[in-house]
Amino acid sequence: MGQEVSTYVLPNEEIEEYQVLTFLSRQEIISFHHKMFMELANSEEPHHGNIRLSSRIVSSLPELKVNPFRDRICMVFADEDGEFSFDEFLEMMSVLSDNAPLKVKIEYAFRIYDFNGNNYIDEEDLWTVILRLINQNELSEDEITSLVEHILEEADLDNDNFLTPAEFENAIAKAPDFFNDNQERHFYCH
Amino acid sequence: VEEAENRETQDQDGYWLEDDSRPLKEIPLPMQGKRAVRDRRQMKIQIISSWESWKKSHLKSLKRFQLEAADVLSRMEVWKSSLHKIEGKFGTGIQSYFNFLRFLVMLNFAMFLLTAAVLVIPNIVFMTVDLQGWTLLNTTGMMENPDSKSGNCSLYNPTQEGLVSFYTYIMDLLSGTGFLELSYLFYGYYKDTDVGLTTAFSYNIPLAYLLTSLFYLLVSLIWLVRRSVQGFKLNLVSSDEALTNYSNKVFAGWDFCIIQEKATQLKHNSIHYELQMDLEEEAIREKIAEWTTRQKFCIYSLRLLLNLLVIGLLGASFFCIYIATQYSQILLNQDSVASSNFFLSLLVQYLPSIVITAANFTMPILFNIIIGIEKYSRTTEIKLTLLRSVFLRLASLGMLLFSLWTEITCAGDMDESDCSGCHYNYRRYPCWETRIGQEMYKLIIFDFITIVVVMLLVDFPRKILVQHCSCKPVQLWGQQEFLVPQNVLDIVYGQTICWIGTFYSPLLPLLNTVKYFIIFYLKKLTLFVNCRPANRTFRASSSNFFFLVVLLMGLILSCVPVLYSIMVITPSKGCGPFRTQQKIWDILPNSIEGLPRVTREFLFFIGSQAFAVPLFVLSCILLFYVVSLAGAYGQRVNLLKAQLQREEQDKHFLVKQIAEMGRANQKNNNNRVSFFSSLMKTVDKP
Repeated sequence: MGQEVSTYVLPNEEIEEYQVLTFLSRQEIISFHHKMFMELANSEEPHHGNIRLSSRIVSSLPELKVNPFRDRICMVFADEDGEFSFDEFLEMMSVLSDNAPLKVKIEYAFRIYDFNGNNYIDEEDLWTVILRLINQNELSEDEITSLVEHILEEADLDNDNFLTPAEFENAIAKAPDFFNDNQERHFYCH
Repeated sequence: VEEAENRETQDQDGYWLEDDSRPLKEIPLPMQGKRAVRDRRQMKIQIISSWESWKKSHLKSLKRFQLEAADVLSRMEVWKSSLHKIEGKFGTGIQSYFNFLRFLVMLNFAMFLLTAAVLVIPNIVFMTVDLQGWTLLNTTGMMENPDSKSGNCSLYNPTQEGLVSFYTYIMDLLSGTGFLELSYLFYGYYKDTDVGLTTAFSYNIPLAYLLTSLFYLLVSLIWLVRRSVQGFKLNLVSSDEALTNYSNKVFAGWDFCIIQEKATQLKHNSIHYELQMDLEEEAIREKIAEWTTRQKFCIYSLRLLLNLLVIGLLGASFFCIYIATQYSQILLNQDSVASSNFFLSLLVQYLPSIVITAANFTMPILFNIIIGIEKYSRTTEIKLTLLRSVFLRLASLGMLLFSLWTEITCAGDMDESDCSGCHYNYRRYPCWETRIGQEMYKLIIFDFITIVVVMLLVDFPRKILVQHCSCKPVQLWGQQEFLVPQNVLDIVYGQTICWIGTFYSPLLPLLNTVKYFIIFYLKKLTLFVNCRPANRTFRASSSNFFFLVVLLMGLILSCVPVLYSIMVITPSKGCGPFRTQQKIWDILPNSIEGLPRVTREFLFFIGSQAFAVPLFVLSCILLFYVVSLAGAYGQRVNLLKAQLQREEQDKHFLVKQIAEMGRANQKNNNNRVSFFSSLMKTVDKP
C-alpha cells in the first residue's frame, strides 16, 4: 500500500524547478502530476520520465475536449513525435493557467492560430479559424471573405496580407475582451 | 532545442534573447529550451558582491511571499466557485452581472460595519453604561426666539399607547412606523448629545452621524471611479470601437473555459450569429449612408416626433408619480385610514412604490416598440433604449423626492401657514427626516418583493409551460433569456435608494446587504433552472463600463437630495441629532471652532474662495494639457502606421531589385551574391 502511494510522489527539487520554469503553483503542479498518472496514463511507472501521452489522450481532457482548436493546441505544445511528456503537459497547463501574463498567451495564441505553419497568419489561416469557430453553422463564401478582409484591414499594418507576430500582438492587445480585472477568461482555464 | 534556436534567429522581437532580465517562465520555449537558457545564464553570472546576492535572495523571497499571499486571498474570495460555474455554462457576460452584484454586497457590508462601529455601538454602549454627561450640546447659533406657534415644533411622539393589535405590528414592520420608528433604524432616534468620555475628550454624536454619511458617499464615489477609470482607459486605447471589433471577435471569440458539450454548440451558434449580425449591420450602415436627402428628411422628422412622444410619455409617468405621492402623504396623515382595512392602509403606504414600479414595467415595452420604428443601427438601438430606461428609473426616483420636498417645505414657500413657524411643515411632519427614511425603507422592501414575485409568478411558470406544452406559440416564445441590462438596472435602482436613504436611516446598508445576498442566490437559481443562453452574447468588457457609468449616475443623483437637506432645509426640532441647530451643516463649523488655531485657520482657508478658484483654474489647465497629450499620441500613432507602410513598400522594391540583379549576375563571383543574400536576410527581418 505504502509502495503504491510513494510512486506518485514528485520529488521536491523537481517541484521547485517547475515552479521556477512555469506559472503554476505548488498545489497545481502536484495535482497535474497526479492527474497525468492516475487518470490519463493509468500507469505504475515509478517516475514520470518514461511516460508519454499521445495527443489523442491529452485532447480528451475535459478542458480541451470541446475546444475547436484542440488539435493545434496539442500540436504546438507536443514534441516532434506528437507526444506529451510531463514537461510538455505542464507547459501547456502553465500557459493556459490564470497566472500566465498576457504576452505569453499572445505568443502561444499566434502559434495556435497559424494552421499552415509558415510563421505568419495569412488568409488561409483566417479562413480555417473562422470555419472552426462557427463549426456546423453556415456562412456564405462572400461573408467569410468579407470577414477576412475586415480583419486584415484592422490588424495588418503594413498591408502585406498576412499577420506577423507583432501585428497579431498589436491587434489582440487592443481587444477589450483581453483586459478585465473581472478576469475575462480567454486563453485561461482553471 | 534546434528548432528553438532557429526560432530565436527568426524572432522578430529578438529582445528576449539578450535580455537576461526576462524571467524564465515567460520565454516561449519548451521546457528543455528554458533549461538551456537557464544554464547559459548561470554560466554568464560573474562574481557578484554579497550585497547583490543578499538583495537577490530577498527579492526572491518577497516574490514568493507575494505569490502565496495572492493565492490565499483568492481562495478567500466569496462565491468564487459559483462564479466559475456560471461562467462555464453561460459565459463571461452573465458572470459579469453576478460579479457586479458581489461588488455591491461587499460595498454595503463594509459601510454597515462602519456605521455600526461609529454610530450604533457607541450609542448602545453609552446608554447601557449611562456615562456621566448626556450633556446637551451647547451650540452657537441657537434658533431665533421662537414665537408662540413654534412651541409645537418640538412635539414629536410616535409611540402608540394601549394595546397594539397583531396586524398593526406587521404593518409597522412593512412600513417602518410604530415600534420601528423610534429605533436605531431611523434618524429620529439618535440623540443630539455630546458624550463626555474623559475630561478632555468627548464623543460628538451629531458630528459622527454627519461625517459617517458623507464618508459613505465619498468612499462609494472613489471606489466606483477607480473601477470605471480602468474601463474608460480601454475605450480610449481602442481608438475606434467599430474598427477593432472583428479581430476581437474572431481571435478572442472562443471562451476557453466552456467545458460542457451542449454549451459548446451554443457558443458556436452564438459566434456565428454575432458575426452574421455584424456583417448585416455593416450592410445596413452602408445603405443608410446612401440615403437621398428626401429620405433623410423623412426619417429625421419621424425621429423628432417619436422623441417628443417619448418625452411626453416620460412626463405623464412623472406626473402620475407626483400625484400618487401627494395623495398617499395626505391620506397617511388622516387617522381614518390607519384604523380601517389592513390592505387598504398597506396600499396607501406603498402607493408611490407601486406607481414607480408600474411605470418602470410598462414604459420600456413602449420604448421597445418606438425604437423599432426609428430605424437606427442595431448598436445605436440598444444604447438608446438602455439610456431611456436608465433615465426613467432614476428620474422617477427624483420625482418622488421632489414631491416629498414640496410637501415638507410647502414648495419652498416659507410664509404658508403650515411652514411659517418652524421652516418646515411641522404639523404633518414632526420628524421629516424619519419620514423620508421610511419612504426609502418602503421602496427597498417593495423592490425586493417585486423581484421575488416576478420570479415566482413569471419565470417558473414560463419554464413549466415551455417544458410541458408543445403547442407552436409557446415554443416560439421559448424559455426565458437572462437579460443582463434590465437586471443591472434593477440593482442599480436598489443601490441608489440605499445611497439616498442612508443619511435618514443609518441601518439601510445592512438591509441592502441582506437583500442583495438573497437576490444573488435567487438569480443564480433562476438562471440555472429557467434560462437559456442568449443568442447575442453580452460583451463583458463593454458591459462593465456601462454598469459602472449607470451606477455613477445613480450616485450623483443620490448626492443631490442628501446635500440639499444637509445644507438648506431646517432640521426637525423634535427629533434627531441636529434638533438644536439651524442647518445640519452647521455642526461642522461649530466643531472646527473647537480645534487649535492653526488647524482651524487652515481648514477655513481650504473652504474659502481664495483656495477654490485657483484650484479650479489649475484643474482646467491640467485637463487641457492631458487632452492635448492624448491628441498628440494619436497623431504619432498615425504617423508610425504610415511609416510602416512605406517601409513595406521599400522592402518590396529592394527585393525586386535584388532578384533582377541576381538573375543578371548569375555567373559572377560568390562575393557579390553572398553580399546580396545577406542583405536580403536583414531586409527580411522586420
